[in-house]
Amino acid sequence: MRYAFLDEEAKKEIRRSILKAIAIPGYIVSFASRELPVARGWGTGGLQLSLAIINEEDTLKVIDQGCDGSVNAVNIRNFISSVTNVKTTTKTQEASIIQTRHRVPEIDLQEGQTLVYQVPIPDILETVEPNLEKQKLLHANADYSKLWVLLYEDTSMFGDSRISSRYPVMVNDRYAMDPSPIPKYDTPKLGDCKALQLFGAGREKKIYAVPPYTKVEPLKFEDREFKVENFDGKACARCGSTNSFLDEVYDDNGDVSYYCNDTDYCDTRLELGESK
Amino acid sequence: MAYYAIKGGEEAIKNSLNFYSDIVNKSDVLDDNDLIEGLTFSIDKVISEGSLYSKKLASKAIKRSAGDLLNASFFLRAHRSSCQRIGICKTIDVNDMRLKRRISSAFKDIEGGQLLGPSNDYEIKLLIDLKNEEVDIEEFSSNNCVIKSALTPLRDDNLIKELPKEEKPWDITRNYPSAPYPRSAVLQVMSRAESGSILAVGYTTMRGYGDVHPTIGDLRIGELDISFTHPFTKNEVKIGEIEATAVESVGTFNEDSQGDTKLTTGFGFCFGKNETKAISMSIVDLALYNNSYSVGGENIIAADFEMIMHHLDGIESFGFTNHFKLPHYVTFQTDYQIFKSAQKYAQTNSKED
Repeated sequence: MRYAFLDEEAKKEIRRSILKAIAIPGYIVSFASRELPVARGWGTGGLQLSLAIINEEDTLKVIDQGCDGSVNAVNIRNFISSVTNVKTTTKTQEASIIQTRHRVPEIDLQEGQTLVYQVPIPDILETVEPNLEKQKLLHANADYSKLWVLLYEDTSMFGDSRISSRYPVMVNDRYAMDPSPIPKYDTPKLGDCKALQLFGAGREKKIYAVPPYTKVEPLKFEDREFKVENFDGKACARCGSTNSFLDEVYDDNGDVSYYCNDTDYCDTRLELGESK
Repeated sequence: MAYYAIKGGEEAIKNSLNFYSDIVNKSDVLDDNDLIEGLTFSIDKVISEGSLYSKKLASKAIKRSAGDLLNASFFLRAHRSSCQRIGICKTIDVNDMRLKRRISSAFKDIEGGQLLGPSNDYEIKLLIDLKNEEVDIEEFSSNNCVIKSALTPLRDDNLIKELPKEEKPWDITRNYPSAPYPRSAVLQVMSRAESGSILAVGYTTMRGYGDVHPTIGDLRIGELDISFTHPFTKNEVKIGEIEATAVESVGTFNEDSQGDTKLTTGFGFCFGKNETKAISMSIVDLALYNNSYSVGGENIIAADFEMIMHHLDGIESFGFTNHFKLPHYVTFQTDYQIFKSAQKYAQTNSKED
């Protein structure tokens, strides 16, 4: 089998698409998208990006819903390392490539790192306009009025947008972008990020990117606060953290506890003795 | 305090795969050739949806997935990605097919005759065996049986609407097009489609969501030669044969680009013996390119390029449908918090009323 599974032509095509995506932050680039031995919808977009950019020098981290040990993360990490032999890690700081599903690590990313997002629905306009041809036209005209109307209607009916994860962002004051289904908690981390952020949607055959130090802001009205998930008064039952995204876990008695969603963050705090 | 198991995915996957292997490995006793010969229609479905013409690999894939044919197609697609493309073969013409079966429901008699060939169309579906009459099977060889489409006389008389030809066919496996979609790409999508999906879409046109009302002008199953330009000698060489199904169905009349009134046709083509799929494809092709004559209105599924281009691929639809089994606790947590605050907002507001 070839290094990193994909044939060289496929890698070349993906790399070119990545370069185009980086050159136009937030713009959606089409690519052929090869079928992988992993099912469509299970991270094949992110996987193709990782396979196209990875080399022997890289150290790989894969997380799914914040966790390195989650079944799909394990599966993807094992697959990549079986076709590349690269070093893998669970430590955010040690990784040069981090493939993620639906979370941005708690620890700030650094220059030289690449965060690869798995994306189910690449175009944020899908919520208001499912037709791909019309979506393209709306982006070309920077016409995001339908998104604003949705935001207005939600705010008037429910006090805030009903969008929870996948909250729309404006990239470089030009393109409205789907940040993948990360919680709103992670949205502010996209802007001015030191790392390169790549987004891949395998089934939908799209790639887009946010280069380092790019302006990314959630779509919101000037006089409205951007509210993120709130864990006030709660702390991780394991490391005691009060400033991380927490998972709500019910035990067999129905009692609820909270744990850091980012398992590496939690482990690192325990190792450094920063726990309660 | 209960320990929250944050790790253990590795073990869990291993165990799960072991349990699964127990089921699937039972297929090891099956011989590849028995599958290829004995379950020929399963093989053909898999090579068609997997879009890789290899009956041997298809039989391996069917065994690997213990008979789950969509999963078997997925194996072929994944394998396809690891193969380097060497080149593109010479365009094949279905008129050159060495026929095993060729029928036309548009005409009572056609040049070369109705050739029923192997078909279960008139089979009585009973699980018990009726008394079998001894039948002497006619000697038949498809070798010299090459007959042009039954619609050829109409085409020669310039009665059939022709769509503009593309200079170079698109290749959806190397470049997925954006709208407006080239017809070659649309046909490729349909030829690789999940059989049940395209059948359902085709069926909608017959029940009022469109009015294609097709007549099968020509349905053929047989073998086609694949030729390739030799990279060194530059000679045309035959590198193999494929078995395929092709269908031309005839719709109502319509105006062509010159304003002449012509009969419309739709085309279906798949690897292997896949009659239902090829017929469905020809019907959807008819609906897509003759939308304005559809009695069922313009906004029908079968005539909507967005619907056809993005919803028929079995590997994609089944993958995404199954992805809902993945953990979604972060997204669910965010949904839950939004729900709680909206609920609170509604309560406060109703009190104010």
